[in-house]
Amino acid sequence: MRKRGYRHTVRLLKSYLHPVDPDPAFSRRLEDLCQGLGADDLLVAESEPAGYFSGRRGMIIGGAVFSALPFLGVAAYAINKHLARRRAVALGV
Amino acid sequence: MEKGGDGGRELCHEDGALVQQAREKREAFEALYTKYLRKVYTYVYYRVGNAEDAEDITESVFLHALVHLDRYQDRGVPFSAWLLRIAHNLVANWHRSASRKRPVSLEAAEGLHDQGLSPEEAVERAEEIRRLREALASLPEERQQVLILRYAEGMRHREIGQVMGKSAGAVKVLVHRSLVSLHRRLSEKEEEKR
Repeated sequence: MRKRGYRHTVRLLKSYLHPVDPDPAFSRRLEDLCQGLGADDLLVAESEPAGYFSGRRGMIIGGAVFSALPFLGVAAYAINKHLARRRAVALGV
Repeated sequence: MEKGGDGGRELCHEDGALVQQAREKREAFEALYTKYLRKVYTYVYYRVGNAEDAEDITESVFLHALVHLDRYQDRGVPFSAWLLRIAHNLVANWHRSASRKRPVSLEAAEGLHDQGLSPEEAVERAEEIRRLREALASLPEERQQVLILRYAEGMRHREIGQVMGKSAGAVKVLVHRSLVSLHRRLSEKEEEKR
């Protein structure tokens, strides 16, 4: 068997890959599924968790900010002390 | 099959109108479904290698799109690219599942019978295609994806870039590297056979 070149691989790939039509029965079934009540039920069922989470999002962010307040206070106090100490040294010189 | 350039932009606008209609009236989704079923199915089919799983995943793609239609925003990314992204994610989940260790099916070669081939040539061609399929399946996911979109879907580099989140130039390079890699693996398989 002779060794094939790069161009042959490309040609082979092009002949192998081509658009494929699904089975007509499957196409019809999916069409019915999308049109029918099943899709509407699915819309309601899947929209509930998203609504639940989006309703809670504000509460989660608010809680996180509120929890961080004491730490922010401590940090502000420490920075203030540090700056005051630096100012005192400068006046002493 | 859609092409890029101005035609692609027109299609994008046209899809935007169809999506808007489908948002207001779910029955209008049928137009989008009819338009892109073949495209999505072709992509999924070559990624999973058999019609049964391809049908299941394609069904999931369209139901997912229908449910999450409100999330699609027409910001220059065509609806078809959005659908193919969903398809890509679902196929990736399918491959990740530990139970999906089926060998690649022979179905894909069925439409490949060239006219005018002698029985010996037909056998040789079938064997060649089998090796090609194995070599393709052994490539990294991204390389399989780009080759299928390029050659099975006939998409342009820019269009593929919209699906994969890459520039047209990056896609061009990726296509070339994928072809080189495929050729190397195919040559290795031929060497093994000798």
